[in-house]
Amino acid sequence: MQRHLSALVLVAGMLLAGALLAFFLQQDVKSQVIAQFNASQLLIARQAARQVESYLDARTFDIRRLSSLSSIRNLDVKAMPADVQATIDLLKAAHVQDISVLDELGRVAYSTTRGATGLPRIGADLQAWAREPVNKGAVRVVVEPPGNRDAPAAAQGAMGLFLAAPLYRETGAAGVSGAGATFAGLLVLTVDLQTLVESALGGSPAVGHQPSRIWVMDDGGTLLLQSEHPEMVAQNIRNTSEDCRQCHVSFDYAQNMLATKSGTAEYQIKAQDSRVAAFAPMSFQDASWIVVVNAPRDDITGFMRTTTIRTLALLGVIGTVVGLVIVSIYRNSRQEAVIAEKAKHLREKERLVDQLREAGDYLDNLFESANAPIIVWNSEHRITRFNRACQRLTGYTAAEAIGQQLGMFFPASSREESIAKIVHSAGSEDIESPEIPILRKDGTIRIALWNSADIRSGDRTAVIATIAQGQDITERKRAEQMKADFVSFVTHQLRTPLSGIRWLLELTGQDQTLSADTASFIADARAAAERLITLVNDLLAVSRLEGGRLVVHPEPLDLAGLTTEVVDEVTPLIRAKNQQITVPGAAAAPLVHGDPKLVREVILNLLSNAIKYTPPDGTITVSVQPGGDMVHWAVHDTGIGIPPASQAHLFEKFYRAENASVMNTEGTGLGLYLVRLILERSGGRVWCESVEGRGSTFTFVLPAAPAPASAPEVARE
Amino acid sequence: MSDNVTSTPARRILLVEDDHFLRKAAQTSLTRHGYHVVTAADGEEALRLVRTEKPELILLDLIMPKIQGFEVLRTLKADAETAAIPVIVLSNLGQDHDREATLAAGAIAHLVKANISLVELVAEVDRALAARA
Repeated sequence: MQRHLSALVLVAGMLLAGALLAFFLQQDVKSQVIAQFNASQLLIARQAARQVESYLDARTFDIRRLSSLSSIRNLDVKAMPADVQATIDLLKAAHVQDISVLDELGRVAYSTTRGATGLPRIGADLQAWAREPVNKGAVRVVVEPPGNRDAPAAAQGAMGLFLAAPLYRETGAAGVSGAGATFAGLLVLTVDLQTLVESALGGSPAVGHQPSRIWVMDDGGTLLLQSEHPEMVAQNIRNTSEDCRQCHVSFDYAQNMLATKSGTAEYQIKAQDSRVAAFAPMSFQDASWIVVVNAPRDDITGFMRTTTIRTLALLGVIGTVVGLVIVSIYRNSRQEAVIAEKAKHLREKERLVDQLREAGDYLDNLFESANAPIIVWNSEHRITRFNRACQRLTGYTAAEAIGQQLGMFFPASSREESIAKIVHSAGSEDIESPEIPILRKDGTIRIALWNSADIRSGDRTAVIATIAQGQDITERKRAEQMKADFVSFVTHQLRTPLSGIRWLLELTGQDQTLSADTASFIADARAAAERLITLVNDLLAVSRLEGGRLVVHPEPLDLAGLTTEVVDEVTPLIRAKNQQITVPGAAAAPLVHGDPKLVREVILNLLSNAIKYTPPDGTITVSVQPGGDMVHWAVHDTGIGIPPASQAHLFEKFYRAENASVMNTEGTGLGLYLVRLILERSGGRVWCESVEGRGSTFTFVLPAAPAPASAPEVARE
Repeated sequence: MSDNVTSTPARRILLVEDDHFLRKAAQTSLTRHGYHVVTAADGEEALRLVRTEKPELILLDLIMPKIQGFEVLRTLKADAETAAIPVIVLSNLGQDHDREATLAAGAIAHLVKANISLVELVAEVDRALAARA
């Protein structure tokens, strides 16, 4: 609204400025036009004056010629030759109203218009002038008021203008001029002053629709011609009354004209009647006149006014248009500037938005294209993000999942437990990823490991969301299961015939009637079958340990006591080789934390090896000692030892030391590997020190059992 | 005591084993030690013989045709008439979970065939029946 108002004000201002400009321009043009007009009027006046002068010169010549003709100066009009008559006819066409010849008494001897009676009265001074012999051949101009003669009606608007020349008749001897001449009369040409002046002006000059008025006055101010007001003729303009000033030239102007004789004067007759009087001097013989061309300036001002109005209107329109254009340009430029500023801000914003979008897109792309399922949920366990891998894992689309409860992905039977696990995992520093079954949209179950982390608020106080990355281990689990199933199957299928062989050989060996050779063959076959069974059992144990399916059940365990039990078990073997064995005393060391069956397996394995690889009469020493948080168990033998190159590989699967065959013993290459696997699963480790040919020491450590707070007191009692 | 043993009718054992060689070896060994051994080659036969022969002890294999050993064990323990008969599982399945499952189902022992000798088997049977006596 305000903008429209200011635009209106601006347009109005432009209009006003345009009008003012037009007005001043117009004033300038007007004064110039008026000056031009005045100058042209002055020129016209001057030309008219010159024309009148030259006309009078020409008529002076004419009258002299006529007055010199004998027929004229003898007043013998009957003898007037044809060329005189032609000249008279010519003069009649040139503003000459009448040509008269007067006798010495002033009577009309000849007149072209009036006959004998219609002559004007020629003043006595003219008669006197003519009678003076010195004026013989001269021509005189005379003006007479209309009342002074019987002027024709046509000459009412002007004084009579006469050219007179004296006529002298020839006397005495013929051919003698002058001396014998006697005054005979006057030749008078009556000139129509009005038509003469009008003709000199080139007709009736007019500007606009009003004709110019013509005055002629003598240098005393007496009007000889007044085309507008004939009643003024013969009056003196200096004598015009105050009343008359309203309708005539003002006194001051009249004085000015008479003083300067040439120029222009502007005056106003009535409110709407301004005039320009251009005046120029004219002189002929002793006559000194002023020709005045009196043009109404209303015409020019009217014309100017019309022009002004048109120009003003035009300029107004132009001003309006220009104003509107300027306003619109201004507004456009203003708007453009505002728009440009806005556009700049917008561009800046867009740039920032683009950067954010790029960063967001980058994260989105990372998030979406990740191979691992990634899911984000808020503090109310509602899902907020759900990537493509998650969609593949669960079978739900992002649209179906987002906004739903996290619990929807877990089978009802383990839902609470699964949520607890995954939420606990996010908040804890456990490296172990919980293994959680996932219920797919199609109802099938997949197993996934989940790493989750809490997303905290800026001040780290509140958990605002949790992000979890999954790993679909369903196939791996399936493969593991298949492998386990396979191992179980193979083990069972191998064990059954092996059991058959073993038992049947055992039965056969019970036959007392067998020869010594046969009995030893059967014993060997039975030993081979048992070795095969051991191999199968070891393979099964290795498979279970490697697959992580062997569950360790640790409990406080007395290593020394367990060692004694195992030694008792292998005593027959030790006796057979006449070896010496030393075992630790009871309660020699603190309890360890271990699975009895598995630790027993370790001890049996290491003792068996010591017996096996120690020659007869050798010594085997077992020790159990505390060592910080761990308990050390070691078996030292005086056996063949192990080559350094083999020591590093002793605990590898299927490895047998290079010199193992020296002892002619059987081995699967799995025993020490199993020992290592069991100890690693139990939080301990095993190693070997050996000097080839001198003996070996195998040492393992197990964590000491956490002692109950009251244990020492109980022990004391 | 030894007089009693000879005069007393032989103690009746049901040996459930689908493998011919194993059945033969075990039956022979147990018979030589004075037991009356009735054999069954599958679970179905085993359940039938339990009712007709009324054994004092059952040696039960697990992997068998028709009815598996686990099923037989459960059926026996669910039936009041047979629930009291001691069952020793004699199988080549010997993993912890197998062992736990059979003991939980009511077996008094779980022996892995490949890992014991016939002497040991007979000793286990003697021990089991002595505990019952």
